[in-house]
Amino acid sequence: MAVLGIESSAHTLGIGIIDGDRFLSNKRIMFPITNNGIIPSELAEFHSKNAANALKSALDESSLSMRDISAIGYTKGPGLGPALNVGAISAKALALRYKIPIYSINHALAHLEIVRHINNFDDPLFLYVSGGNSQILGFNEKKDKYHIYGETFDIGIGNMLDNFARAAKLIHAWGSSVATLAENGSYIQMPYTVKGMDFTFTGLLTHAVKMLDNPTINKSDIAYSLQETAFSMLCEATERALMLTKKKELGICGGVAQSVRLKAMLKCIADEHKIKFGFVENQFNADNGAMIALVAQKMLSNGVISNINDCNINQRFRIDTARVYK
Amino acid sequence: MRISNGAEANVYRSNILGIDCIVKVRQKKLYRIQFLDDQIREQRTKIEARILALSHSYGINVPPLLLVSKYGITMGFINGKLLSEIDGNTNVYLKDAGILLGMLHNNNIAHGDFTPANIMVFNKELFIIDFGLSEIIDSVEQKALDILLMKRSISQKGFGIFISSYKKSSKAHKLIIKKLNELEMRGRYQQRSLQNI
Repeated sequence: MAVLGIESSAHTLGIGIIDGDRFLSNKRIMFPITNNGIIPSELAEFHSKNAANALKSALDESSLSMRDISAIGYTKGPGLGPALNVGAISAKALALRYKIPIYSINHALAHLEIVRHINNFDDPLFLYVSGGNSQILGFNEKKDKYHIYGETFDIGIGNMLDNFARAAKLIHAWGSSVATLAENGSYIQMPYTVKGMDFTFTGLLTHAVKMLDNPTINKSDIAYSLQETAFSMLCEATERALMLTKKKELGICGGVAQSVRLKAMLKCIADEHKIKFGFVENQFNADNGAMIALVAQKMLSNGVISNINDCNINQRFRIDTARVYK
Repeated sequence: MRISNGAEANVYRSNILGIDCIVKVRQKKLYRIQFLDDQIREQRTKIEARILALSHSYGINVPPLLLVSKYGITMGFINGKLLSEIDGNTNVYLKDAGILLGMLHNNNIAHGDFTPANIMVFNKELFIIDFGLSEIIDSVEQKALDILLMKRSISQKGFGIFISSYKKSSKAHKLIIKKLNELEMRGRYQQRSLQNI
């Protein structure tokens, strides 16, 4: 009962194949980003050129052919429209060609579900941190949906770090390059904004970017302070949500979950509250097809009826409107 | 005696010279680097104490400030019940809560965590507690955020009562409510009521 997942919401084209608890393949091809950012039409072209090859290599790695695939899932949103369309159209074409059920999946939900699945969690609190998103979520049983307890009031933490990296002219303009620059830095005061379980990052970003113009301040100190301040804000909001919900499990997911420092800080909170802390390896934190396949598999095993006519895209698909199948 | 462990601070019951009081101590957070942690705890303690004293002087019911140390505040104990824990009709309290928030805002105090869990009812009078995230700031947005937090924590009908009394007491209510609508229009701020959980 292998299930195929297609992820194409942003710069990564991901094809994943899952069979029960076994992740058979998780191929990821990333659009080469220059410091100019992403032009959606170019991104869509990149994804469509690579889709066939990625699918073939995922099938080869799993030693399967398309005839062995029993269902297909794709990312409905949120994401960049032209890129999402590539995934949706490919998925629909395959579903029609091989007469298999097709499911449209919320991208953020897939990030959460893969962490819940791999860590065998029942009802965790999640910190979901990626480029565009920074949210604190927990499952709402009454609605069978995730509830957002807190989130960023402006930009996602990943975007914030990437923006800083570009302003600092780091060659690989990514959060991870900020982390490298931050090594051996020392702390300088930065604006720290937490409102209950919500937080804002733009003030902090502007402050840090302005500091870059001051030649007397060490760049690595700025990177270190920016990272420590932003992560501390996330942790404070998460801890508050943890005490409100009294949940016994804490999970971190999304692209920024690759940060070693952020994981260490959350582990520290979990230890203090004597609860479980869970994360996944980096290939499942970054955007990937395996997480989409996982959610599609859950929908298939819950007997959800697939309707290809409803398989569209939604660039602003909020996670708290997506039904969860456990 | 410890009465609560908050995310922000631990709260203990105590008695000084026959006066019932509570001591709020901002605990060390191991996840933060020490410099940032010390700074946050010290600043927040200072600001909280200052806001308690100021609010009292403006005639707003708050726990009376008794002592301040580096990371700790001792204040009078109010033997009341949290608004969030009151069963039955809370409309009359929500009306008063609107008036009190208006008074805080008129004096440029933004509470930062204005929810029924931070309002205490004692002898049918309201006391605003936990100024741990409060700021002395003339910012329309921060004030609008106070209203937004309250809106998310109570029913739609309750909010109607709250906001109409807020409008009566807050001088700059037009600007602040305009900002509130703006905040809610931002994609991320769609209605997120804790009541629905």
